[in-house]
Amino acid sequence: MEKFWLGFEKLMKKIQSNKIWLSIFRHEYPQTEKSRMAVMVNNFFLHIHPVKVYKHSLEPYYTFGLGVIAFVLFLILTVTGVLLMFYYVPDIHQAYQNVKDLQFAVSYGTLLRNMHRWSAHTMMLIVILHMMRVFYAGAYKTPREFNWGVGVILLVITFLLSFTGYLLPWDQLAYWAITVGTNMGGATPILGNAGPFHELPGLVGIHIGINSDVRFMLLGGTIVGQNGLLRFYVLHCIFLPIVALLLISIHFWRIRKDGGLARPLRPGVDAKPE
Amino acid sequence: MAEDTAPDAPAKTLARPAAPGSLPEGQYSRRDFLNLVGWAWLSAALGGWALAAVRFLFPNMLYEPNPVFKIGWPKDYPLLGGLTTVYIGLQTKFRIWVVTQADGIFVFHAKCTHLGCTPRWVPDDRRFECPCHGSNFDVEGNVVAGPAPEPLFRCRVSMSQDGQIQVDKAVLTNNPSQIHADQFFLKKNLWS
Ligand code: HEM
Ligand code: FES
Repeated sequence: MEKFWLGFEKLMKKIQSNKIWLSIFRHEYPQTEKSRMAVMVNNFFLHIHPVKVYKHSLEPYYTFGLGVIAFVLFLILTVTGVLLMFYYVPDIHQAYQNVKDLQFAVSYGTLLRNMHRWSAHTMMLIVILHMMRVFYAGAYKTPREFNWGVGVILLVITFLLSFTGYLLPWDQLAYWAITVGTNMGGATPILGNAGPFHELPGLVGIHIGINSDVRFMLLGGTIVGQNGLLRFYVLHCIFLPIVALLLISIHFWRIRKDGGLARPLRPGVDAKPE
Repeated sequence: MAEDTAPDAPAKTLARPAAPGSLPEGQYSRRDFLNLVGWAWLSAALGGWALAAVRFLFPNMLYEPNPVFKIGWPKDYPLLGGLTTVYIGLQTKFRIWVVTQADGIFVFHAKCTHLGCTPRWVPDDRRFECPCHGSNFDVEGNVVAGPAPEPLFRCRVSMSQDGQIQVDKAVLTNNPSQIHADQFFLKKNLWS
């Protein structure tokens, strides 16, 4: 037995002194303070996080981990969403059947679809709670206004992801929800065909009607049909996730640049922010 | 001199060497000009491209159902029991209801004026009732309940050459002064 362990240790040493291994892990196993710092600094994914944080930031009841939970949900949604895309075609004659197949015929389709749906609902809730937490902690104040602004856009994008995804099953609920939703778009001031002041763009020669307003642009037509389904699909699977990822990256980067999470001033030690 | 270097003597301000290319206020260098031209060109190009991209999103050709279609002869829509009669048989195909009154026929666009769901005809109530947020309309299309802000719309109707009723869903009205005009109401004397 002892011989086995000695052999194992020798093998591990050999692997860990291999050139390829060393090119990937440029530090020893993180057991000492120094090597742990090295991990945080050297790893692409971990370097987003600082090497050291204020004790206050780790207080579970300060953030409730809500931002991190929202991010993890976003990752789950991305992975399960990409898998769902392998069985889903955004065609009005196929979409409903594709989703039924996913739910009842494809192996583990139920699991993946339900993970996607429940994570979407949960993410909506968590992002709202995260925003409330930031608000009640006063963490939106100087110098964090910019990140609050980024957060507002992320909230809107989360809404839009939910809204565009809602149409994809092409069932009655989806169809009428998007009919109602896009008609709300048609009632937008100035830009919607039924909205207040929609005559204004006429002054510069732009006609806002049923076939030229924002609703028409969103649906690619005057009815919720094939063009609309395709547009919502592209927005849902490509455009909005990319924008969300970009903004989430800025959001995280900005937390560090703003001096970590908001925390109470230590009297006599910290200067009041300008 | 000793006085000059005294610690409390006012510090001498050194004139900062002018940055290369910077000119007295109100004057511009060639560099400033080219800089401006560069930014102007870039914003014009990207701005123009962005406008093109927005226009691109408005399709020029639509493969949507033709809004003009024929729905059969007036005799297919008789007045039953002397009471205004509502025909809902074409709701699924054309999204219209045909309404026959003692003096003629008109056609509703079967679309709630709230946010666009399709109400259903409930014969017992003699109302069109919307499942989405509960708007109700009477047989004349007037709002009798719910959030709908205006009466139901009626489609343009005409008699085609072969005597059939022709409907144009692209031309609609709910204006009380128009709904009895020939365009939106087929008077009985046209066929009897
Ligand atoms: C996709 C949605 C979002 C994700 C993934 C996300 C993620 C995060 C994470 C991981 C943190 C670190 C602290 C924590 O966990 O609470 C954070 C902080 C913060 N978030 Fe968000 N967030 C999102 C949406 C929002 C929204 C909607 C707002 C507000 C309008 C917002 C404003 C902020 C601010 C101001 C901070 C700094 C808080 C502090 O310093 O204590 N975020 N976010
Ligand atoms: S769409 Fe008919 S009541 Fe709202």
